[in-house]
Amino acid sequence: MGTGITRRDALKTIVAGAGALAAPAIVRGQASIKGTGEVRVASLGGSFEDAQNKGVFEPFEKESGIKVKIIAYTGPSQVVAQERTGNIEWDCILMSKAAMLSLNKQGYLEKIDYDRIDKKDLGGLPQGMAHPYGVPNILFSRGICYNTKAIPVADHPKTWAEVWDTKKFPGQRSLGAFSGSLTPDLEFALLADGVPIDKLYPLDIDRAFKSLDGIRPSVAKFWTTGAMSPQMLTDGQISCGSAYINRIGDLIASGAPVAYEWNQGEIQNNYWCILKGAKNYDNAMKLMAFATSPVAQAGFSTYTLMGPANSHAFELLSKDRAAMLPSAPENLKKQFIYDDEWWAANRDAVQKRWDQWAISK
Amino acid sequence: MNTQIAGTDAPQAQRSALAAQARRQGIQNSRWLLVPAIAAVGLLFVLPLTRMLQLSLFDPGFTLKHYMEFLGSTTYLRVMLNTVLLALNVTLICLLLGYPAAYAINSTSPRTRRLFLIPVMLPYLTSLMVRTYAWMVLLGAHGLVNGFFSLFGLGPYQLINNSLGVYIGMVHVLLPLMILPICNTMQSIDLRLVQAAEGLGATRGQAFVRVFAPLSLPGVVAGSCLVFIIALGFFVTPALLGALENMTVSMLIENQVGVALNWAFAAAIGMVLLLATMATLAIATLVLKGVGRTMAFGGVRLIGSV
Amino acid sequence: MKIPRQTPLLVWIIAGLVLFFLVFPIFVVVPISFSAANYLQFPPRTLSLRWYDAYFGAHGWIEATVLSFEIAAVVAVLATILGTAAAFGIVRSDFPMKKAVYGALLSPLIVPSIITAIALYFLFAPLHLVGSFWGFVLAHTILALPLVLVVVTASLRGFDMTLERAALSLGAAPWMALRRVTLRIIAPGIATGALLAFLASFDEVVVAIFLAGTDAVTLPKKIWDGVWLEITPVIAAASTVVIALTIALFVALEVMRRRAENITGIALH
Repeated sequence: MGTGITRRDALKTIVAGAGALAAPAIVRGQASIKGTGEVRVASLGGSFEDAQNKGVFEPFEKESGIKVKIIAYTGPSQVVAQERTGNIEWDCILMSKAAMLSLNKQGYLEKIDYDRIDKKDLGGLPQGMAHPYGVPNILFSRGICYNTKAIPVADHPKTWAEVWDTKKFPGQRSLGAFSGSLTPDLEFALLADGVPIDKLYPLDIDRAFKSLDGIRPSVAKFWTTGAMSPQMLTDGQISCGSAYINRIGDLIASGAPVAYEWNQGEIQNNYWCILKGAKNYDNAMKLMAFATSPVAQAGFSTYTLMGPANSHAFELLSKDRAAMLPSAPENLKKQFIYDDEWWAANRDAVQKRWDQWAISK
Repeated sequence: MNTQIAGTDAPQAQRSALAAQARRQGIQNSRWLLVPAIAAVGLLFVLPLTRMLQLSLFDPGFTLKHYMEFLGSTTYLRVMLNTVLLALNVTLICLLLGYPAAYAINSTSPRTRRLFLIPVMLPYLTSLMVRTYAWMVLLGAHGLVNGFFSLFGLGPYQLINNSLGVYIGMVHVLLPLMILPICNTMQSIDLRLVQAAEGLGATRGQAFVRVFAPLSLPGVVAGSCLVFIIALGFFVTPALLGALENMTVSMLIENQVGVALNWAFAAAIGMVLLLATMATLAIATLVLKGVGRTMAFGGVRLIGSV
Repeated sequence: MKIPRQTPLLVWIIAGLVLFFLVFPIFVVVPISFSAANYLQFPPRTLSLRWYDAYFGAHGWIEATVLSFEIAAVVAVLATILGTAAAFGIVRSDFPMKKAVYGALLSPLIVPSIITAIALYFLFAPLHLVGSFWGFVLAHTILALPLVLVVVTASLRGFDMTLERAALSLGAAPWMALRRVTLRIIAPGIATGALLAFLASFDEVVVAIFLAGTDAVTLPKKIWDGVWLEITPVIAAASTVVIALTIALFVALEVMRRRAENITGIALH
């Protein structure tokens, strides 16, 4: 069912995808993105940044002549700090919807000039997703991941309840903690406790923490950055846990003994946003227009397991590659969509509860 | 100090008067050399701290709410308590390990002493990040330490992302700071006193306990004080080697500034930490003064004899 | 006169273990930097230079190293000048508040660095000194100054004033006596201070976390980011570079001290 992806499969689809892109593809509105100077982008480092570089930034630099400068991004608080001190060091970032909503509430984002984005590309975006202050760009999943040396592919955890079952699947776990814009795995805790996948929100916080109590003794570390759990899975520190599936996909391609499962995964959308007072607004808009085009979208999705928001990008992707993405129909129907609005409204309360829970053992 | 220099014509009295005048002038003028340093510390240290105090108390009008928020929350007080306990334990471990090490180093000849100080100075000079990263590598489930245990069929043990990892990392970083002051003090202990005690009939053990050890006390207090204070403010090591429940006050501060962006609240927590530090220092100075008063020789005061 | 002492074997064993414990971990990072795998694997199965390639190549590692170097160099100069002057002020003068002043000058050493870091951050942010070269220089100078002060003060106190007075009474101007006699003799102490100041700045991480900006990322901050965002052995490569630098400076200091001892014939601390 396409759950354990072997290294050969991954390589095959990447090669096929690259082949699909080798055919000359015309960037719509190519002439209008040419410019000078630079655009400063905050990125998450590691394989995510590599995929962005190869699929989006390098082609953009070639087409437009604008230089892309990348800085490390660790959370929306960095944006707030910059806005507060008037020291705007970035132009744009790809951030979670929750972060975008929160920052926009405080007035820290620039309005998107949708006139500068190709109309056909806008049509390819899912209905109702476009936001006046952010352009939807990619979706990615957080889900069950495991180490194939500790847990065989043939018999691996397919639900969070099974991840909670330390008898059936011995070894340590890792789950997400609060950090920057990252929220803890309360949804997964609730699923493990038997809450139906379509009845997750609004989250029953008490029930979630009680469920976390049950697994806590087996949790080696609550990860605070996206790089941590893949690292722990790879070196065998944990046998299974939650991780960003695109990162696991990248590790599989480089031969690490890890695998993932789409069932009960959580899908999130990221949006391109521009900081208020950004120096290079025009260049940032050009980058975003390019990033929304099918070429960039397909390019990015070729190098990492993140789904394009622009459905036209699927025309440029091989069938095999498309089937591996979180937005492929068979994968999509097994997952739930992360509720950014709920988190934006309840984050502070949950944070306080989390702090209390974290310190007491 | 009369130095008779052959071949000069000026009479001796005039020469020594000149020398005395130069000395006086030197002493008079020397104090102004302190001005640049004082200005620097004033502007770049005292001023920021004052501003931090102001930030914590005025938001915008005078308010104690941030202090109340910190001191009134069981969660945060627990963090404070954990931090103090951690610092105390680390200090104790450093003392138990560092004192014998300093003793052994000190008992060698001055030449070999420098050799033995290399394993102390080198870690001290090496970047904190590099040292902590090295422990992350060593203590992992498949790290070297567990690999060593597996040779005997033991383990793997959980050595990182828990209190054990934090202790190992912190002791490793702070040991040099315990060893160096103690060694320094031990160097200035007059060994003839010990020899005299033994000559008067004391056993080696008695001579140590009643003569040597008390004489080394100022170094012990200085080292312990230094280690405790720095352990109290530790941030990098617990963050990288510890688990959620190992959160320290400084991690809390970093979180409030970098993530939650509560500058005023962070400033309040910082002031509390600062007060704890100054209290420790005050106690240590008093202890040292008491110790110095009852000792005739071998005392090295914390701030040094100025 | 050295009085022979018998240190019990147990003490030697503990001391030996402690010293091993202190030094060994530092060298662990070196083999990892030569690992071919792209995750932490100890001991490394296959060797490769790819991480040094990565270090010298893209991603800003070299820029961070150069920046740290530049900042540390300026800090060493500034801290040494301020600290040496202050040391003279402390040792050669006498006024009622002297001890308090000395303590005040040492205070950045004793106050936990997180407090200094946020205090400076709050002050520098509205002044746009965050993420700037001079912001770092100013912050690090204040942290390095006490180190220079302590070392040079000790050196100066061990210095025999009669040498300087002899020069004065021979007709030398005070400044000349200072330059050609005193400073020459305490030069190793000043050099030690400068070295400590350099390393204090080069290795400094806590303040760097707060004062870093887009273009101003020091090496320790880059390692800190790397540990959170991307735990590949490129960090080990960077760490090895730092260790090599530290050892080189340490050796240079020893050589300098030994030469000075030979010249002056005085055993120096």
